[in-house]
Amino acid sequence: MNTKILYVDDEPINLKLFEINFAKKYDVFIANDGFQGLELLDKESGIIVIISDMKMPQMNGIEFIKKAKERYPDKKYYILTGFEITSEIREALNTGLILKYFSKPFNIKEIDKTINDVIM
Amino acid sequence: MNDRKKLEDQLKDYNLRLEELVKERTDELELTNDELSATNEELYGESNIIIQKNQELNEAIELIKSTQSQLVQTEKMASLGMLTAGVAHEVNNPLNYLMGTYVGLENYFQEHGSNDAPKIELLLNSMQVGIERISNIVKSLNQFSRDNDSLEENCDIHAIIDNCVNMLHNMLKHKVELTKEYFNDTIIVKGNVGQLHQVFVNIISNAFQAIPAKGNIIIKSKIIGAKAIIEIIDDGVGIEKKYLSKITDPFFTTKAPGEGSGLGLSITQRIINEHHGEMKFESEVDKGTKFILSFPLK
Repeated sequence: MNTKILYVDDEPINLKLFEINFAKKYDVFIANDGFQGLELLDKESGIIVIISDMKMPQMNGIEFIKKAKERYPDKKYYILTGFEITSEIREALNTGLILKYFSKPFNIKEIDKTINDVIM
Repeated sequence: MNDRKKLEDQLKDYNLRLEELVKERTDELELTNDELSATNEELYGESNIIIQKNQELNEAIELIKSTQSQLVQTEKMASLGMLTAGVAHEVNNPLNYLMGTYVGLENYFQEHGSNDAPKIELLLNSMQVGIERISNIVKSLNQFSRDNDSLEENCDIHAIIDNCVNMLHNMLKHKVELTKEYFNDTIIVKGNVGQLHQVFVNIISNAFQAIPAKGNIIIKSKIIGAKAIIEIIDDGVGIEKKYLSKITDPFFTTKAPGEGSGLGLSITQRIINEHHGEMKFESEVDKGTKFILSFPLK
């Protein structure tokens, strides 16, 4: 069975492309905001890797991950952002809220390797 | 006889009065003299105070000037930082589409093949190179205006210069032959990555502006003792002798109003000082200018 991963981003093209590029190796779930992301996590208990965009309306990536981690502390959380590292992301790294942050444009090999390492 | 005695007495009397008068006048004069020399001393003291006040005023003016230049710069960098962070985010997102599309297409052709594999490979490669180049430019911009005051970062001098040249590429490409003669190993100094970007962008831009039509810029790096030495050499118009001591003064510029703030080198100098480095320059009119920077190695 493929590893289940969730990708959250408010831009539909990013979601679609992520799905296309990772669908072969992983079961990809997508959500276009944090609220939908939380719903999906409640429904699909097998998701173990969560990657979220940073800048989204209403709830940003870190806020979404904070909420998700309260409910599911053992899952692995990552940020994929178009920004350079910000103080908010740095803090999330320091406190262990997220394990790593990826930059856009994404590097598929880097993300793939990271997922591989945590599911091993 | 009586008359004579009378006359003598009279004369004595006069003499005595004269002596008294002279003494009186002398005393008066001495008093005036004392008064005058006291006034003189007072005046002298006051002129010292005036000279001292004058000096204090001059120092205050210098302080105001440099504070003003720092404020202008801080303000400028803050707006620039906000702008580039915003632009970077806006560019990185569509760039992410392109990267996703590229990866998707590459996988697709790997799986399904094509009738003209070399052509597809060329097209895909061009796309990838384009994406990487845009991505590098955006990264360089971010480096330039990072929101970070730390002076404890590891600064890779060659990577920083490469970034700056990258940023200035469009400006340089038709006018300047740029040669890098780097030390054959990585050079790391301790400091602030963003601020060091500003230093090199300033000096390389100055070198570029000194070149009227076409010319050369050479960037050399080496290690001497415990110091990293970086030289930026141009063969442009050079700097007149009378200006050499002024070029790092805030607001000093020989450019037309509106073309240069006169802040570039004063800021550069300040950043270098904060990095415990040194900046020297040699220049000859019509021959060119050489900037020599040195930084203590980490």
